[in-house]
Amino acid sequence: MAIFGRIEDLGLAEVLAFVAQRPGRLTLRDASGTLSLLIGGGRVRCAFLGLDPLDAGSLILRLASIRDGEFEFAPGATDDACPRRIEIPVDRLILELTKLQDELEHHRPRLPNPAIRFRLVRDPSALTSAIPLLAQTAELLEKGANARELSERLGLPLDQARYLLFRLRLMGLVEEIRGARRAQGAGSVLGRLLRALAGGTR
Amino acid sequence: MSKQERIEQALDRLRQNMPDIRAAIVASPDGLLIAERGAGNAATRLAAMAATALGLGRRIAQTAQAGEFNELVVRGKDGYLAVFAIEGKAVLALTLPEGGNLGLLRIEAENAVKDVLEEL
Amino acid sequence: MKPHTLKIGVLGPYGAGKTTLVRTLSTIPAVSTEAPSSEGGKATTTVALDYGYLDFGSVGVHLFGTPGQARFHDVLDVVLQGALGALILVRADRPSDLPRVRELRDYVASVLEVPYLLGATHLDKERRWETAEIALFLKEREDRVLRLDPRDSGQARRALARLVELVCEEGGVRCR
Repeated sequence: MAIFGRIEDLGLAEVLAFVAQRPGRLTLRDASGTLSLLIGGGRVRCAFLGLDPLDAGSLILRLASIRDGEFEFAPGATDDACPRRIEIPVDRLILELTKLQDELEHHRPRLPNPAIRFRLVRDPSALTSAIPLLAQTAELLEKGANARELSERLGLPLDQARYLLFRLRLMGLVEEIRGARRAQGAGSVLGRLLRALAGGTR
Repeated sequence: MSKQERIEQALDRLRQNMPDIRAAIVASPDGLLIAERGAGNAATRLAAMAATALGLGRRIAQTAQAGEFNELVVRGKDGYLAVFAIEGKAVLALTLPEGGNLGLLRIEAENAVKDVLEEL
Repeated sequence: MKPHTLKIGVLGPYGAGKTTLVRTLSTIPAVSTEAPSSEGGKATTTVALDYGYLDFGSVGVHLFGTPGQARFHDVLDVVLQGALGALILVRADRPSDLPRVRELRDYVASVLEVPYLLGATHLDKERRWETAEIALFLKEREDRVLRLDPRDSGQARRALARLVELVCEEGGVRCR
């Protein structure tokens, strides 16, 4: 079963981050043509515009110019599918893409709620030079912070803080902190409910 | 002039006749903003809330056998929100600080409702 | 004897099947507060909430379905106050809804810290994502995204049971 959708709904960077987890062929169709990326091992092994192979630079520029269109991802082995490999790590593609498409407005509908808390899940040191504000926020994010807190502590406009967290999540550097408070309801009551649900009682 | 602009003008008139009014919002029954004056960033949220109030107000009026729903007022220590049905077609929500004249508001709101109804 | 009652919220984007799920689970006629929808795809949409009650005699569950659109966020806060958990519905045939579902999940899990389970609906559509793929996108364990036809009473009850089990596991409560 293929994964499909519209590029403008999920955002291209998000689509890339998601599909890169498995080998397969990613097809991007917009008004100016069809882009195919063959992915394996977290890298783009090769890419084509129509039938013409693309080099790394051309691929990045091409991706940066896509606004609206459809995507489809067909999982499957791609080991032997490339006549000439370019082997770009998808992480790097996403980084280059977000640099070129550095528009908060473009991503506005997908910015996280200011109250949602995020925590660092990877060592940020390799990327502090590439992502502005990462160095200053790393300490706060180690313990966990939301956009509102980052905004207050660092004097950032709230939207900038949200955009930063959005990009960091995209790069796999932070994840949402999910908590669960103590159960509402005593064990005996919940047990009774479980039995009732299983028993089909009315 | 577009429909939205004419409704905004009706809201302007309302605020002129009753300067106490802080925000005036007209929303669709499913919570979409149609026009507003003075609501700023809260406009989208207030529009949704007005629709919720309309929906709940209708149900309460029905259950309490009060007839067709007209108005719902939420009063807090520092001010209040009054929600008026624009027949079944839309809802008018007005916020005022504490001490406002609710009786006068009703009269002015009724006129505004008639104006807006002509545009819908 | 007064029953012990619990409360569940049913959340999800526009058209995911929340009102339907409340009606399916409820053993009393469910009550909805709806308005004609300007948004297409359905005739009406929830503007306040759907209410149903699952009556098991000595124990019962209040069911609250919330409006799906982001503009109705305030209703969510009210509904999930003191809730046992939330069922978050997602349409498998609408990948465009995934960011919205993620936002709902984040709000429920990270801000409100309410236990939750995801239910994938519309799996009967030909062009759709699989539950495993939805789970991958949302960075959830596969067993957190269930197949859920909101019209099916058996699936609905199993989903609710799984949510209760999760509450017991995560809350460190022994549910006997």
